[in-house]
Amino acid sequence: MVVRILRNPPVPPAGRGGPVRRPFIYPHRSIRSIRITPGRIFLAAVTAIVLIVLVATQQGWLVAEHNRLTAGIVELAGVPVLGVEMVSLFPGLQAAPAVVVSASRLDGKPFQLLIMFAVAMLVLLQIHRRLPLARGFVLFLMVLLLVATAIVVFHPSSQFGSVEFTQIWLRGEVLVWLVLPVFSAAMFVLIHPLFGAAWALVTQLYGFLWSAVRLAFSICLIHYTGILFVPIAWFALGLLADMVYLVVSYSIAVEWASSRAWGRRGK
Amino acid sequence: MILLFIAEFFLGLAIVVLTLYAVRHYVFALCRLALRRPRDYMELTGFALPRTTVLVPMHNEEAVAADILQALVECDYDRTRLEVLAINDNSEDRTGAIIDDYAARFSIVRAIHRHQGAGGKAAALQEATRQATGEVLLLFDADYFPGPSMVKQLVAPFSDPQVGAVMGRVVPHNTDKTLLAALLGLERAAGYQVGQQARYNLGLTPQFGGTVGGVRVSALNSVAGWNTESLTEDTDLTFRLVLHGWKVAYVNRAECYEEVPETWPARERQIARWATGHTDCLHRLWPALLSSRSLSLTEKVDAFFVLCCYLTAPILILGWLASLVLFFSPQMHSVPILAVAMLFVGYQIFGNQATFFELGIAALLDGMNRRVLLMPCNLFNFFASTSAISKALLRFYLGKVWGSGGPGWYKTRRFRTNGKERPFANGSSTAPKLFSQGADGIYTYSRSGD
Repeated sequence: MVVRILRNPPVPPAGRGGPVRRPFIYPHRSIRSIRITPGRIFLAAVTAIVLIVLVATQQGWLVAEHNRLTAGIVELAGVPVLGVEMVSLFPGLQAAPAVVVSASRLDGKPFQLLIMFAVAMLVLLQIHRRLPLARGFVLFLMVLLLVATAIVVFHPSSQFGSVEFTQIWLRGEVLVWLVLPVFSAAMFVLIHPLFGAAWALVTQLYGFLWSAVRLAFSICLIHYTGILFVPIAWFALGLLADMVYLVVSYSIAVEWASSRAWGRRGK
Repeated sequence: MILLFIAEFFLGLAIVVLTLYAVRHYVFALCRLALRRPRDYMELTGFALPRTTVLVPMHNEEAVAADILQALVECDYDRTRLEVLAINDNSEDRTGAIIDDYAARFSIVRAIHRHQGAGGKAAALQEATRQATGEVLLLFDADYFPGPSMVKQLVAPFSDPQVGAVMGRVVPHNTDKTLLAALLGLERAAGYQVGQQARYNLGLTPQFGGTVGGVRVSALNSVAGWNTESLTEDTDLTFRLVLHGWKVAYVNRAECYEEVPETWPARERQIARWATGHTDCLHRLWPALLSSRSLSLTEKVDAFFVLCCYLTAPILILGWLASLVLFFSPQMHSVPILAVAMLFVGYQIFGNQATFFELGIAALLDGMNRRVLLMPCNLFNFFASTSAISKALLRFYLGKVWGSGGPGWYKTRRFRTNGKERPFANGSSTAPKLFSQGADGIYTYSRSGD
């Protein structure tokens, strides 16, 4: 006897209270698996390669647009843009434009430095006290703030401005844009082919736009507060934030794929 | 210059270690997603059910003692071959009275009262094992809810004479209580649905977790019983068993409900105990693991991955500090920064991403609903665990240096209130049948015996 299990059969006509039988038989979660077919692997590879090639060949245009967007947001925030300077990224890649703004230097302003440090530390201490789950992360931010303050006080020559920061930022982000398709393909396409491929593209676009917003915010921080919050901007808003949006995209993809794979009754 | 060299060394170390663990997470997740599972022992017929003793160690468990005992007396295992040993381990509350009440009403329940001797779960198990009459010992913590078929499901793999221990799946039931509990629910799903099952699929060693599991008495005797010195006697037993040539089986279908910590202090104590116990096992067992002839190379590598997993937390913190030093170094603005930047990317994204991939695969296979959208919040859990584990390991190593013995055993706090907030309130088929809900919402059990 052959038993056919249909994934999404038409719902049979039911009584007054709606369907009374489950629409299909779903396997118990302990024995579920998803076949990674050659087709899925092929689609994942094609998605990753296409996106990587696009980023690599259009890198010059991408960073130029990224800079235009960043400069627009910075101006929108009321920070005067003094100009654009070209910075080198990696050998083999085109140089990228970087927004120039005047950076506040705090080494000659101990009172201002003290006030900003104290306020930031108080805010972090309050979060530390009230949100137990965030304590580890807040502790990490406190260390970053302490180190930045120490740099301003004891080693002021290590301070840098918006151009150097943009250079560091873009080096990280360009690598993220190049590596992201591999993760997207593995994480999205393997669990749901067509949705996954489309979602990988959406995530890539989001990563590009979100990077410009975060960089603009960091440049504004440099303009108003100098290097004091730069480590926090880099470590918390930089690559860590890239990971956060990738995880958010992934959780949405899993939720979507899960409901398609097993149906509502399989939850 | 020396500082830069040290920073580069620790950053490199963090990258290498995290990349190795990331690869392991990806391999496990993909194997669980796609590989066929080994034959389910429950499909076997024709073997005799062995005489089984269920051990339930309890220390101040009055809030939960009746639930677990009730669930066990309702299980569908042959009564002539079943014994439940409820161990009152130096309790100062009504636990002893509840156990005595059950022992008086049900002939399969026996009470053991411990008022002296060494404290802790392993010592209680040691004493109960001496009094047990079964060929197989099953273990449940007092806050667990075994379903009616649980005993059969866990005993079935012992039909294979090579199997020395069996582990079932732990599923938290209080994931709707706090954000932390929801996040721990995701973490448990990844650990069991993906981690344990993938290890079993790949012929590696699933970990015996000391609850929702069982051990063959002859296997336990062959490794000289429970280690009362260990903070994680379950991990210790797992590796002593495999070193003696026994197999550990994993039964994903044997799902048992547990309570995960709902507050961060309780979670911190729990994970600190696990970290210390695992690392202590590593220090005691690594020479035997390296020289073992009963383990294949991949099994040895996996054993080291398991035992070293908590060491990644302090290595990660050292990596962060190293990145901070390098961030302000002049190298950041020169071209050779390529290597460092690559390391940043690899370390910040790749290293952590793999654990989320595993979480997602577990959620997908479990058919998890909107709760999976909380996955990004696990980043906070990750940071919090990293600092808690690092503190615990620092205390452990300082204790070794100063000979103070490190942290002691903590009992994980229970959050269930007596008579309220029981799982299965929605009429699930696995609900203990004798519970009935009164008009005030409080559940009570009938006082009938066997």
